[in-house]
Amino acid sequence: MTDGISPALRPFPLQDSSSEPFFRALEKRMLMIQRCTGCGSTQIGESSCRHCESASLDWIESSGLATLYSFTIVHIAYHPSFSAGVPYNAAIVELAEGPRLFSNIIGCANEDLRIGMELTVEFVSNGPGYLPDFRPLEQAPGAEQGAWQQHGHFTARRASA
Amino acid sequence: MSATLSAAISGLGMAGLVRNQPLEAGDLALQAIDLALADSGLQRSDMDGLLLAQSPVASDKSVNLKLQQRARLRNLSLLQVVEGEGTSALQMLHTAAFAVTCGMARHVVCVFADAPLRGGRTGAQAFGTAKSLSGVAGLRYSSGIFGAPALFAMSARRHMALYGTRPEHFGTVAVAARAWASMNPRAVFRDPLTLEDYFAGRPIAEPFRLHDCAIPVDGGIAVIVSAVDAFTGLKQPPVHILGVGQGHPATVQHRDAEDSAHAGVGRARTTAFAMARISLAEVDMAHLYDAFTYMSLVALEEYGFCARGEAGPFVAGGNTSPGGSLPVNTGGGHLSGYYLQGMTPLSEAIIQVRGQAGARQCKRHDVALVTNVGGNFDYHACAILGSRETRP
Repeated sequence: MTDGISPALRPFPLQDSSSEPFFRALEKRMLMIQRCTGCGSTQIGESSCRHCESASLDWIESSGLATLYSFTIVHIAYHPSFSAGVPYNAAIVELAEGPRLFSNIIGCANEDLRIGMELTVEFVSNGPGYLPDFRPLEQAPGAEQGAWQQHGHFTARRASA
Repeated sequence: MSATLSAAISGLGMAGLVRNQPLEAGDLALQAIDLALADSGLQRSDMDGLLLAQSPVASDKSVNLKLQQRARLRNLSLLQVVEGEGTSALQMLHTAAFAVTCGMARHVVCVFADAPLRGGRTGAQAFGTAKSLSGVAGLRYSSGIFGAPALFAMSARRHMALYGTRPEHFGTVAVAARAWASMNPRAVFRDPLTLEDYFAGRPIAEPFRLHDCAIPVDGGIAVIVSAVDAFTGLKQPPVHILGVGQGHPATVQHRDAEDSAHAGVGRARTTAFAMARISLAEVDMAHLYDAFTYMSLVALEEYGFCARGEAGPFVAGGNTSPGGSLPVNTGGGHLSGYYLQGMTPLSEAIIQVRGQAGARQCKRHDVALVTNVGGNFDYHACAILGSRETRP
């Protein structure tokens, strides 16, 4: 490990009964969403359909494709897992299927982030599990980019993957 | 058909409002209650209602039901802890107004206090905590979104993308707040602030910079709500509670914060203005929950003071500044005054409607709009205050 790389893990959500399949799938590097068998609406981690209130929901695998809904560049490290990466981006991504997720964008310099840019999921190791980060679509996973390596915590997580 | 409230504010007490002091929130609350009693001319024994609220991330939990004993408020007809995050202050005001209108109580003291900086803590330490959040929404912490700035910054970024709002628009909200604060002896920051100073401020969560964000303080504010027919012999002119409203959209995780803002405001506004039987054009000034500059822009648009997407130019045109057509946050608000959550806009509205605002007193101060926002636009509450009772 080099200086500036934080070994701390990012906080991981507690699971509840409605989100347990989502987090179990994450362990297998799969991004799962709920689809209502009645009206076809999609969502994640709900006990019934937000649209028609049906309790009949299927879990299906997301394409992993998304667009950048919004983002911010955070300049304060509130948690040790982010201290080496300051300033870091935080984002809301909108999956092609509709639901939105809090995430981080990797493989893109912060100044190049644009609302609406096309993204694809990348599962990033975080201790025993994975978190769904996203990277610009035109950039193939695994392609090394300077901007990515500038962010210590991302490098650290990749190194431990 | 809506009934008419018969409730008015008779007392205001403000304690602390400083950065770093030794007292717990509960002690500040007690001081605020005593100050409100002295302000009103009411006796402790006159109080028959007590409503309490604390910050959802309070560092000490000393604002609780036990405060009744500590405040020596005996034989109460109404006692309640109210939790509505940033809307707690107005939610207390609403409940108190209903209680005195219906005869459940005559004089209800509503108190909020917080001591986030006690012991030398910074605002980021106090408010940037990770609550344990279960389910997919908990990914906000995995993504490094701890305090409120990053959440609202993403909403602000949407506003920029959708409507062409620019960073200097956020900046002019901060500059206007400071211009008002310069005339408020209670404001924490009163030195002049220019747009250049704003852009020199360090970035917090882009697009937000230092001056886009509220100034945390330690303090307590108490407001006494009394029945309108119970003002005989009191020291202050009544500040009538003309209309109140709430809107809680319950949009679930990964919501469009814009949608939430719209839904919450719309419901609250409709209720409150119908109850008050006034129109938006009759509002003399607005006291908005401005924990971030962007929140003022949203409120101006959603209440209809300007069209959606036009609040930036509206503020940049000086309309909300001293001398403008719609004075906003005349005490400096959360940005330059003091961040005591929902009590900040409420306290300044009371001072202005009474005509006690000194150098910053608005010429027209008969009708004030007050707003409170909780969560990430999850909760909304408003009140319309006036110097005169609602027309029959």
